[in-house]
Amino acid sequence: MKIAVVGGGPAGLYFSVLMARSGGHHVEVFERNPPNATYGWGVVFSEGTLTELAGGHGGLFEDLDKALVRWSTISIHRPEDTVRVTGQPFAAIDRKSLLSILGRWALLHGISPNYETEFQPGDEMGFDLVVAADGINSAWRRRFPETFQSEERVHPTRYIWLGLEQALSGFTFVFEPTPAGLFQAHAYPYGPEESTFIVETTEEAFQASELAGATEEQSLRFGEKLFANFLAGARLRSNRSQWLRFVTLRSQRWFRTEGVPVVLVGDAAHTAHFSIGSGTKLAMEDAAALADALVSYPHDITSALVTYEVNRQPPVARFQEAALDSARYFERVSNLMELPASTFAFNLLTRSGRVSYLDVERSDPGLVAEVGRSASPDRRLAVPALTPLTLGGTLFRTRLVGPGGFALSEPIAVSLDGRRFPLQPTKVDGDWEGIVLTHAGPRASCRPPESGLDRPLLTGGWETIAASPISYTALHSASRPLTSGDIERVIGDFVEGARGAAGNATLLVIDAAQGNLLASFISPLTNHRDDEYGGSIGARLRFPLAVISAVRDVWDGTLAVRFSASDFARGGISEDDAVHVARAFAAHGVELVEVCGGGAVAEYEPPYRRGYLLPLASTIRLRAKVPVLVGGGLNTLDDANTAVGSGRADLVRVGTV
Amino acid sequence: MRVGIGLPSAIPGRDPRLLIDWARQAEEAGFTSLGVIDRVTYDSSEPLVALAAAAAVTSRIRLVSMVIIGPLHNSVLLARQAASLDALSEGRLTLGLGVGARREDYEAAGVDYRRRGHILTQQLARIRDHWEDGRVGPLPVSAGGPDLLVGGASPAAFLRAARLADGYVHGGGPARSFAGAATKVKAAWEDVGRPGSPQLWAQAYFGLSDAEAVNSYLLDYYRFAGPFAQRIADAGLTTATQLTNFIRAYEEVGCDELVLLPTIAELSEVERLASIVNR
Repeated sequence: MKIAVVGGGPAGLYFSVLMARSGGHHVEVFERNPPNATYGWGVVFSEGTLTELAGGHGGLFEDLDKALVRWSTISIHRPEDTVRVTGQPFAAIDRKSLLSILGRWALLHGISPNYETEFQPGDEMGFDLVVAADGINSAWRRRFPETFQSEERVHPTRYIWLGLEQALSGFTFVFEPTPAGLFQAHAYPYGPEESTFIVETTEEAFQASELAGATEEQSLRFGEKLFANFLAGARLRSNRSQWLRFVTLRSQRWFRTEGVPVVLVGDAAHTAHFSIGSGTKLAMEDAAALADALVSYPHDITSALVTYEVNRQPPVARFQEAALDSARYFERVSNLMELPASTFAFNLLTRSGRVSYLDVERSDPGLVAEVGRSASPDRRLAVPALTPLTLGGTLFRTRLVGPGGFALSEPIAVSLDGRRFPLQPTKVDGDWEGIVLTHAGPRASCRPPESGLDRPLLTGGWETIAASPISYTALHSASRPLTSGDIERVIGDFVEGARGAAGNATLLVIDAAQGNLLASFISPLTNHRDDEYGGSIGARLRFPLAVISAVRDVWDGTLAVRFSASDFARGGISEDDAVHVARAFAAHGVELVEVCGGGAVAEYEPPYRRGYLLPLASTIRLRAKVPVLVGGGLNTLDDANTAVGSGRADLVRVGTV
Repeated sequence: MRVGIGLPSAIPGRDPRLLIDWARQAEEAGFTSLGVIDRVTYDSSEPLVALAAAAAVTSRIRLVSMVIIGPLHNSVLLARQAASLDALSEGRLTLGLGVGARREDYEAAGVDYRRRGHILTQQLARIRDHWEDGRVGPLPVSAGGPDLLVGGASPAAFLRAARLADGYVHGGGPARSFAGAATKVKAAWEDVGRPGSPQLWAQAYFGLSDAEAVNSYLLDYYRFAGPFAQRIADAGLTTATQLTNFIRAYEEVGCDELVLLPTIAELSEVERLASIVNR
């Protein structure tokens, strides 16, 4: 097979080495830059990647192994505290050393890259396959947009890739608050006297620090001054470094078979945010998988390319998802600065959803013990989700709500017209620790949920009310907008409901979530009123707050409210507005907020997976400074320990299925 | 985990009456369900007609569509057909609906492909309405109508399943992929506050008498998948070891019922499969 490899980076060279070694193939590498023109500093590999590289090419791996810097700690520095996490084995290598080892092995296998040579359209004639390893700006990917269907997402933060003239002892995060906003460094050693030192901040802090248009020299001095305490005199270096925004690239297809086949590898096909340090790792794994597939199907390029894509897309997609979670974490990390040191560290370790409480317990039991102590009221050794919590007059014996934990009633309707379905209770019945009061509003007058949700009654139904005259589904009639008389009546009904709950429970939860009556006022998708109850978030909250205040006046126990902090639909409530809502609740005497999502409209796009509501819950807990209950695909004690131990939630609703 | 078998209703060149003997034998062999798939632009029997024929010669085995491409059908007539079959089979129907994967089926039926998700959501609610109000006859014998399953992999599909169906039917693949979908279905159930828990169904292709025939059938059926057809064909289960491992893996991730779809229109396939499953 005659193969053209476009790009002499790690993916292109590693692929060439593996193909050449397998014999019988003619591989030519085209690199538009001169040799050793590379910039960027070190490259990180996990133990798992190293094992794969060792299996891929033993000789090459031996050379790599000698040049690797290994460590097993993560240090997390804030101005007032430092946490060292153990049991985190990683390795890094100087990017130049990596390329020179790959280049040497390429030569040993008879491949001499064509440097300073562009590989242009038309040059593919005479080749059986073009391997596009030409990076995120891949000209070959851009040539066939309909085939590859790529999508680029520009991240909101700014970052600059710098070097440090000193070997750190392991992976290091440094957080430096400034009057302009928080800056953080992601740093790790890659040589005897060198470390990568990436500085990241929000757009607001970047602008407020007047870094837009800063020269390389100015950025360098800025970094040295900002991190002076941590650096203790060590110097930063730059190499054509600029403040950038990271771009996450995804491609639907990774190959085309029309004409001379073209296949994408590494950054040409996909990128993953630098904060989980896996770009080169993914690129080299791609290279190995592609070489493997071509060797397995020597006479069938199509099957080889399919096998390559099918094998690589799922793990790359998982990494990209974790990387997006990690990127979002760093966008919002300034919210977390008040967490205790061990909780902050544990939160950082579990940011991508791939590491849980049990994983950290295995690698650093000491940290997990400290996390448990922080969650425990008397600072005794404890499992986070099994520690007690007192809110107002309510004692939660554990942090679990639902089966096996705190007993919360099914929603009880405050009036007959507020029932979802005819047999929904309107009176407290049974033994509950907490009681939920609801008015279904536009979702009332339906059949029982056992046979499906939001199916209006065919006979015996009643008029439904909502903020605005909207039908919940095509089968619903439009709801009647509330008049001022309705508003007074509903407030009275909630007050009566609260009185009825008195003596039966210590916790009262008012339902303002998922498209029910109070929720229909909060979401911009369902509140189109032009009176004092519609418009700005403050106006949309007026009625729900009136209900809460009236209930607060008669309810002596602990008061909670549940609300949808995202509509998961275009044009829905913003994150800032959701924080505003939670703050307003707290200011009106609410002691606990349950974070829900969706339901304002019947057709929305919930990002279902384990813990999908946790990022929202965390933002609300820390920005609105109100205790938070959250569910959403959290089914195990490990899930609950991760959520509570990391400070993302105070209480966890464990799954009912 | 229960194990069902598909009817040979979508294998070109079959004797159309084969599925009658097949159904009888599948019930005798102890399979818990008979499954059908739906594809308009292919030599395949209409799925509810095939299940009706099977219903006539069986008495215990469950009849399941996995899935009928709902938006291609008029909802009233589909509800009526399903209710009729439910009555005829004495409550043995489980109706799986989905949007399908092929634009050409929509073009052939003259239905707007872009509206498929929205149509299916409306249809699920309407079908339940028809089954309950009896204005469009007959009433199904199952209380509230046959169980409904929904297929698909988008957030909207999981939400649709939780709001309006009784369970989820996975489209095929390794157990790990099924497990990922099951987590989402359960999160959806919890999200919308649906009582109970979802039924979780899965499917895979098998063929035991001739591996080459399995390959060529799947390559032909999945021609629309372009270069990926070979990959799907390679996943066909052709040996006892493959089947045993596959069944065990699905059982471990919490599948309720796995339906093994045929690729070879030979009656002996039923017996061969039964001897492996019942081992």
